[in-house]
Amino acid sequence: MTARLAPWRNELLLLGLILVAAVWASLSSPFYLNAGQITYSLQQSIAIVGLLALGLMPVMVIGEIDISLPAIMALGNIAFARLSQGGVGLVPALLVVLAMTTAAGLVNGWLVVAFRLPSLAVTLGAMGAYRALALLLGGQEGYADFPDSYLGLGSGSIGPLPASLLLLLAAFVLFGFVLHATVFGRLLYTVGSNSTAARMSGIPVGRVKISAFALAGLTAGLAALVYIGQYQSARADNASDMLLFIVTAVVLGGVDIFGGSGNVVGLLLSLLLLGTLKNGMGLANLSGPVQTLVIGLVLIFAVLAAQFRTWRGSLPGWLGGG
Amino acid sequence: MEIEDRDDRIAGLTARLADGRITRRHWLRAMLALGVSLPAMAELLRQTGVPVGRAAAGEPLHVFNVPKFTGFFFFEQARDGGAKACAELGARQTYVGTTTADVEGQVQVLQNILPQHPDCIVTAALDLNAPVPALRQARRHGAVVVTFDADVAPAGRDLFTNMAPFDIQAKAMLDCALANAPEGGKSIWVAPTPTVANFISQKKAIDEQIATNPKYKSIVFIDTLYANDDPDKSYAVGSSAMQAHPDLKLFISGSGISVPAINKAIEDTHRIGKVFATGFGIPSTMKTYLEHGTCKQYALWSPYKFGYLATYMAILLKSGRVKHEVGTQVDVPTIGHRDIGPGFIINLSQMLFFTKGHDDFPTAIPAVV
Repeated sequence: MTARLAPWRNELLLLGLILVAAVWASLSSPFYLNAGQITYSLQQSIAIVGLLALGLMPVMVIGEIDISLPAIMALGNIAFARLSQGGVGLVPALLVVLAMTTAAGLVNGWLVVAFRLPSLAVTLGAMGAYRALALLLGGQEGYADFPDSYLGLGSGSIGPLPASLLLLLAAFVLFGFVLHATVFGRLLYTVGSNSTAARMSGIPVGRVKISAFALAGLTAGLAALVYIGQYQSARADNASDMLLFIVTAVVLGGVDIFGGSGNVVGLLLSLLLLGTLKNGMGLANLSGPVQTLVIGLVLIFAVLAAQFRTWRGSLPGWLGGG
Repeated sequence: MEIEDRDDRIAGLTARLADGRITRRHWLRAMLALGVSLPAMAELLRQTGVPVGRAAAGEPLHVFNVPKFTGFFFFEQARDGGAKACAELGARQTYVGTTTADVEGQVQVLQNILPQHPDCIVTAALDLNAPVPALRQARRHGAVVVTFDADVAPAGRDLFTNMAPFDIQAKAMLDCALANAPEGGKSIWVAPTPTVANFISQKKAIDEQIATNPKYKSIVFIDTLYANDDPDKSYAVGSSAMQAHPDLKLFISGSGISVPAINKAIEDTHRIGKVFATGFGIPSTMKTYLEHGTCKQYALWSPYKFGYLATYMAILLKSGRVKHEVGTQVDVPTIGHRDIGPGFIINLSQMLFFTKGHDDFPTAIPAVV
């Protein structure tokens, strides 16, 4: 049993931390333990961030990064605002926005592949460019007054469950399938583990990489619709503080920043952990700096714990190595 | 045993590299589990119902004070003012916010307040619209929402606490201008951009005062400059304006960022006493210029009174001691007679003047309105 569970130690650790966080939250606040409260809070804290993190995951699996995703989403928000002002229906608007954000991701990927540029630099530039584009398209003021059809996904519920959480879950299922059970998914991990070997094996490394970036853009477009529903407003500087949380979620989920490993289960658990922590700390009315500190410490602890076994292998026997 | 162990480890390692931990079989199993548990979760939710709490009878009213962000003197003063109002009216206050000006973070703070059965929420919003869904939900469940400093769309609040009508702001700025340069002179108005509504209204009110009140007619505006609420831009704009107009006497601005930056430009170009920059400022960034005599007086409203008034009104409205109607008259201790104006706005209308020796909030001189 131990041997079977061993490869899952990161996920098990996260699961344990979620339980600890939930127990702590229910002890520190009488308001935590309520299913409605929990789903409501999770919807707020992880529905949007979760989609963006999920989009970022394939990009990190191939050993790259895209820090422009929140900016791409903001561009999508503004596009939704403009389209709704023009009286465009939800479905055509969604198609236009998804095409737009996918193209934005595609351009990032193309720049990285075609010119062999480091993705951090490319997407740092792209982040500024997409924000500027959003500002040009939307100006500095915010938009509200979206038609109800635009808001359903972000603020509505299907039965008693928030639609945005169901969407997130569906996206995880879909990504889980694509990443872990299709040839394309396999190629992502192969490219991420060793792109030279992949190229020599005849894998179209460039195309695989560009697809990963495009996929990230697509999810950012979807996240934009959830954002519109949740906040019922759009502004060009939306989500400008979201990046750190997204990267934290992906790294905490066990995705290797050098590429080649990580799975959707770990990411989902890390999102649940971060969401639970935020919820618990919020209900306990902890001050802002303490909350930021705790999230940071959890990240460091999780990364250390995951690395511990690897180190132990290189320690002498009398220190517990082997 | 040892060899087996190592084989296990190697197998684990290769599986990890290819990430073969999740196979199609795993995936299908997970889906099945999810499919089974979803209806159960749905049922659980149906039973527990709406996640907004309700206060028990007899407990003191619970006021949540949510600043734009924490760790800023202005909002901490407002918090202390709020605490004073709570103490006077028998309520308790919780101050909670994010460390940075993070719109989504502020909304999450508000969301986390909902289950704690808030009686009142007093907040300075980071966005006109984004907090509205959360605040509307709070109001639907009986909470009174009072905004101060920065408003939200009317659907999200019961009352907005405004610093002062624009004519009072204008008079305060012009009084400061004359305190620096008693004989008036050529002046430049500094705004962030041509489109910020606040600044357009401030300038219009200033122009009206100059046109109608002989006291201010010596102040002559020759230009309007835009500095984007940015210290560097303000410094540059100020420096070049002083070069272009050697006989310039005054910069006047409602931007607490531009005023200290232009004071710095005045010092760096050795024009202390020849040119003055005044209007609205913040004590922490203006203190040195008052000490040096670069600026003799500037104005601001009291954040302490701001928080006090907003919280005081929130508690009165929640406890039903004051009617939620336009035209309602209220006597607020240490502030005076106020009424709820059209659009459910109440004015603080208490400006403070800062001079040398009176350079922080406790010592500042209340302006006579």
